[in-house]
Order: sequence, then structure tokens, then C-alpha cells
Amino acid sequence: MSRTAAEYTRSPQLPSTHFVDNRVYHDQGIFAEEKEKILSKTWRFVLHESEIPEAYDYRTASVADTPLVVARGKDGVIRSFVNSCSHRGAAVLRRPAGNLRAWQCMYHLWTYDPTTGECVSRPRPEAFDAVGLRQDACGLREVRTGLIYGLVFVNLDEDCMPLEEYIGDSMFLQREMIDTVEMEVIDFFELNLKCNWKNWMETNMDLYHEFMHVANRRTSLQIPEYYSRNWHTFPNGHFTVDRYSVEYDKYPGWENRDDSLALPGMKEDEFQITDVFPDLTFLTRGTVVRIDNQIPLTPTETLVQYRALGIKGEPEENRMRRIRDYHSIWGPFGRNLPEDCLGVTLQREAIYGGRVPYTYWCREEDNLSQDDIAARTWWKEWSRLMRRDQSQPFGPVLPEAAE
Amino acid sequence: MTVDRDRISGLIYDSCALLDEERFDDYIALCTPEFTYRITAYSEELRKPMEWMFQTRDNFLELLKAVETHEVAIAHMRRVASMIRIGAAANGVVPVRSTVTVYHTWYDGDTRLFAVGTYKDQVTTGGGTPLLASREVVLDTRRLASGSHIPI
Ligand code: FES
Ligand SMILES: [Fe+2]
Repeated sequence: MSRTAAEYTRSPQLPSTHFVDNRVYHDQGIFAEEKEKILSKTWRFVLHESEIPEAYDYRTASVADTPLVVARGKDGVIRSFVNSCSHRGAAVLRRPAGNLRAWQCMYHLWTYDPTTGECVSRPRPEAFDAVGLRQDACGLREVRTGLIYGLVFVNLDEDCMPLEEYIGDSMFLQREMIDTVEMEVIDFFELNLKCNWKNWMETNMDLYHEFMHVANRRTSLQIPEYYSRNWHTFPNGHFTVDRYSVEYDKYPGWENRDDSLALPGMKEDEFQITDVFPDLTFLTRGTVVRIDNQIPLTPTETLVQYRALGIKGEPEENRMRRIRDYHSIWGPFGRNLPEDCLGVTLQREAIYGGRVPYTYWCREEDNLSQDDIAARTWWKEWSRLMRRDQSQPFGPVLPEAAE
Repeated sequence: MTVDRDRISGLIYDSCALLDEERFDDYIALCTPEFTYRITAYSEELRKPMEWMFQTRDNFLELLKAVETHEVAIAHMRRVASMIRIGAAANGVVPVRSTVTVYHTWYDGDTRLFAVGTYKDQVTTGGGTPLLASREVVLDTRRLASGSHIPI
């Protein structure tokens, strides 16, 4: 039976943890508040250390609208600074990556030290000195930076908890494959998706959506073990799901995988997912790790970054097979990624107009694969930090988040 | 050996149109048995070249034919080859470079630029009929608005 307007708009008769008021996806005020309370207060993945292997290497990033440069100093230490000139604000580093011994702003040639962020020269400085703007007060802002398992994170909040404490044990299934041998980013691209950042994050915590993927229908969803994996949830909104073995030869043109290129702790045909709040996902298929992280631009537009990790220094032939495994499914021309894009696009089309009030995260099956426990864990952390219940975000303010 | 420039240009245009029309058997018929297909791009972020797809002829056809089993975007792709530059033939192979621009027109009629790049082709001219011996699609565009089941 179809629903009347009253039936449709009333709050679902479900526990409040089990559904979402869709305004959280498109409301401007909520988005602004997320930037303050979540995106600039949590540890945010910015790059893998292999992207800046040498002294003076740098890579730009963007966190909660803050332009950043992440650099390896002459002492080998990775630091992050706000990538904006202290003079008139121009971005100092203009390329996404490079190696420079001095950072000179192209506008009026102020220059900065990549190791310390200090301002080291200003053309004709006397006129600044005349008003007391000293050079040593013109350094770049440094941002807290942490390194764990080769992954570089930043946190704009100087009072944040240590990165190790934030991650906790959440990467216990992920750690061995990325932190046993030296790893390297072997592919990078971005999608500019016309969707809210949380909708993309949700595709990475929702295994029920895998029915949409023809490749998964053929290679995974017929396997009983697919459905009997456990989700493990952790403090700070992280979670991970057990692995299972994919039957690759069930898809036309694909072959089953031997274990010759398996990452440490994995079999080549195994698949495993770890999600780190708020926007980071590791998806590992035996030979290659995919890392998604997000740069929310507006409530309805998100830049998603996709990295592939392989083994550093391996023979070219092995490298190429890893890359081909990765792209066959997860590249822009792979079998699955276009379908994930389609899913979030259709949500945007229908929901963001504001007339579709609620959506569900209400599947319960003992925390197994297609239980929505992952999404509920994520939303619980969102609600705690926002002090808004995702089921009624404009209802009563929740008590202050416990430290 | 004289190279028939019109026929080579025709081959490049046909390769665009047949993929646009999703006539995959006819597209593959433009290729030699040893045909290889790649999509590549240079990553400014990683400061190294990337390969986003590699296919041999038979595998490519299988992949293209499987597209109809997928939930694909209700959209039409238009590949426009231009600036075709035909190089000097060597050992029966002619290098050909063209600019390719790909537009995506969605079901509601909205058209967006999907990507721009270069086709770097090797064309054989033996037997009188030019055929694609290999194609490398070198993409300028690395930040896309969506993925696509059908390549460029
Ligand atoms: S804005 Fe950078 S030197 Fe003036
Ligand atoms: Fe998916």
C-alpha cells in the first residue's frame, strides 16, 4: 500500500538510531557546523608518506576549507602548514606536489622555510618594520600532523587527542597489509561528485548496496561466507569488517587469483574493508589497497580522492598487475566505481530537494555483513560531535560530547 | 608506401562513432588481432605516469559486451576526434595522434564535458585497409565527474 502525506512525513516508528532525517545531507547550516565540529576537529587523512619520500618534497591538501601543504623537512620530519602567504594570502605552493628548498610566494616574493614554516625573506622589509610587522611574526601557521602505519593525518584542532589514541585498534585487520613491508601510492585520481560527502562515505559502510554491482553479484553474493562476516566497531566512530574470498573467475574475462602478489596477511582473492571516521575508507582486494578520502566542497558537492597502495620497489611486471587489478574494478573505467557514482547521484536527485524526509539504516542481523551496524556507529559519532540527533537534527540539543 | 590520409582519418572517426553507438563488434573489427588498448595519464600529484586501463583485443571485446549486464548511467557519450596528425610510416605502421574530446549527455538532455585527451594510435595499412594496431588514450583530465563503464 502506498503512504499518504501524513504517513510519509511522520517520524518512522523505529529506534532513533535506525534512521536519518535527510536534511543532514543538504542543509547549509548543518554543513557549516560539520566543518567546525567534525571536519576540523578530527584527525583527517591527507596522504601516504611515500608521496613525499625525499627531504623538501611537498604535497598540497585541503581540510575543512583550509589549504594545506604537507612537507618533509630537511630533517626528514613531515609537517603541515597552511598554504597561504602571510602577506596577502596567496597560495604559496601552486603545484599539487613537488620538491623545493624554499617556498617563494609568486605575488610579492615573500619566502618561507619548508622545514620550519618561518618567513625567511621579504623584499624591501623596512616599510613593514616601520609599523612593527616583524619578519619573525610572519611564519606560516603550522598544523598538527601525525604518522601511523605510513599514513599521514592532520588535525586543525591543537587540543585534539593523539592520533594513536584516535585510531585505537580500529585498524587491527588493516595494519598488517600496509605496515609490514614498505608501501607506495601507485595510482591517484579524484572524482568531483555532485553529492553530499556523507552519501559517499555511506557507500563505503553499506554492504547491502553491493547487490547493485554486477561484478559482486557474480563473484561474491553467491558465496555463503559473504553474509557471515562480522563487523567490529570501535570508539571514535571507526569500524571494520572481516574478509572473505572472492570468486573472480565468475565474471567474464576475469581469472581467479593465485597468491603470488598477495599483500602481507592477505590472500589474493580476499576482500576487506576498514572505515575511519569521518571520511576515510580502506578497501583491500588481496593485491592492492584502495584509500578513499573526501574534500567536502558544498553540501551537495564533494571531491573524493582515490589512492591505490602497492609494494614499494617491486618489479614492474608485479606493479602493473596490481594496477590492473585495481582499475578493473575501482578505476573510473572499472566495473564498480561508475555504479557507486550512480547510486549517490540518484540519492542527490531525489533527496536534496528537501521533500523526502527520512531514509533508513535499520537492518539488523547480529552485526553480520549486511547489518547496518557500521552506518549506525558512524552516525552515532556524528550525532555526538554535532550534538544533534541525526534522526531529528533540529530537535533538542544533545548533551555536550564527552571528552 | 603511400598512406591514404583520408582512410586513416576515417578509421579514427569510425572508432569514435562505433564506441558512441556501442557497436562493440564493429569497433573491434577496426583492430588488428594483436590490438592493445590503454588509458594513461600523468599524475601531477604523484609526479609519475599512471595506467588506468590495459586490454588486449579479445579481452576488450568481452569487457565491452559485458557492459549491457550492468546498471549504467542513462547517458550518451560523444567522442570527438580532431587535430588528426598522421606521422611517417615505418615497417607498415603509421603513428597517428589526434585530440579527443568526450561529452556526456544525460537522460535529461544536459550535456557536460567528460574528458579531453589524445589518441596515440598505431595504424597498419597492409592489405589496403587501415586498422588499429594499438591505441593509447592519454588523458589530460584526471578529475572526472563520474566513472564510465565504457572507456574512451
Ligand atoms: S601575497 Fe605572498 S608575497 Fe604578497
Ligand atoms: Fe559499491
